[in-house]
Amino acid sequence: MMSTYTASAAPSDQEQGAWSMPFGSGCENRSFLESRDTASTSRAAGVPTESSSEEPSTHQDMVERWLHLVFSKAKGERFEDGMESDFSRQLESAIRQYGLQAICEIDHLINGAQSGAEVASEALRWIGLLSHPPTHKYRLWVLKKSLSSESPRIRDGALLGISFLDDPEAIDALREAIQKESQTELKLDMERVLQQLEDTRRCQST
Amino acid sequence: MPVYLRKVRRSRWLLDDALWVDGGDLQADALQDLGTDGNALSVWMVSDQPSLEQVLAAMAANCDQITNFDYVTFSEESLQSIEIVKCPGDTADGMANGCLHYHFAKLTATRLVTVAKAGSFMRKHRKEVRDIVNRAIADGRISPSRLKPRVREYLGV
Repeated sequence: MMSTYTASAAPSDQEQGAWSMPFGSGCENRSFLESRDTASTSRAAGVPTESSSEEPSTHQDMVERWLHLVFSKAKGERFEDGMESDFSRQLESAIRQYGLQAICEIDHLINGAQSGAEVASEALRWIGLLSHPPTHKYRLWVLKKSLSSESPRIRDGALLGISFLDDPEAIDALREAIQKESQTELKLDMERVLQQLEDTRRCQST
Repeated sequence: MPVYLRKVRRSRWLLDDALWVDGGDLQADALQDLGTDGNALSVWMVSDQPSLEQVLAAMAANCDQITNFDYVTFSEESLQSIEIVKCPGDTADGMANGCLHYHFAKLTATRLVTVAKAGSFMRKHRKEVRDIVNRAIADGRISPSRLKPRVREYLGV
């Protein structure tokens, strides 16, 4: 029996914190994303689309299982900047195949304690590096949100992802992160990326 | 004064909670970036900005993608107990391979930690790395045919 998660039960943007997800109206996955904190409910329900059916539930379960396995296996990998890995290839493949559903699960795994900061940091680099316009704004959202992670390793991964994406839409989030950053080296690096994004914005406007 | 350079990943050197590491010490994860082979650590000697760019371009051109390039440098005076041996490198730049690649040889665990503590961090962001590799290609130091497909695509060569 499939329960249905209703949009009216979802937390408001204010309740979600500063980073609201960039969905247009009618996005069928919005309720799914907003229910990530009630994971057991949403997982039991599968994908809470307006017209829930067995097919999307199976689909979402498959994405979840796949990405859990990918993140779990990644704990044994040694990552190097600029070098692809089994993890990065699987991550890219999942995003290209499942788009927003994959991004949701990746966001969940990055923010879950079980992933480990090194794997989360690697994931953030690759979601910034990926060229996939359909998921651009969702990947940007995950990166901006991760700038406020408690882990400096994750914040560093998010910063790199943002520098790769090179989207001036991240400027406000970066300014906020700079104000809060406690590690001097990371703060200086954030300021360099902020400069890069401001240069990009100037180039785009001329 | 030349320094020795090693590519690292800065996130491994960032402390999640600095309270448990004494001043001047390092978290153990940083040693993952100093993997030895035959008790030797591969490093590159740079003496000025052109040689730094040559090494960065050579190493970045070996990658699957152009990304940031994090590295540490070690000054010679901080390495007085370390044996430094010239040996060929393995990158897309033959001249850098022949002239600028070295090993810190006969390393013990204690010496390796001494090396790690002597490192100073630097980071080049993706666009800086892109410009450096493009200059190396324009100067004929790196052949585009040696680059991986995604690097060629990003550089437009």
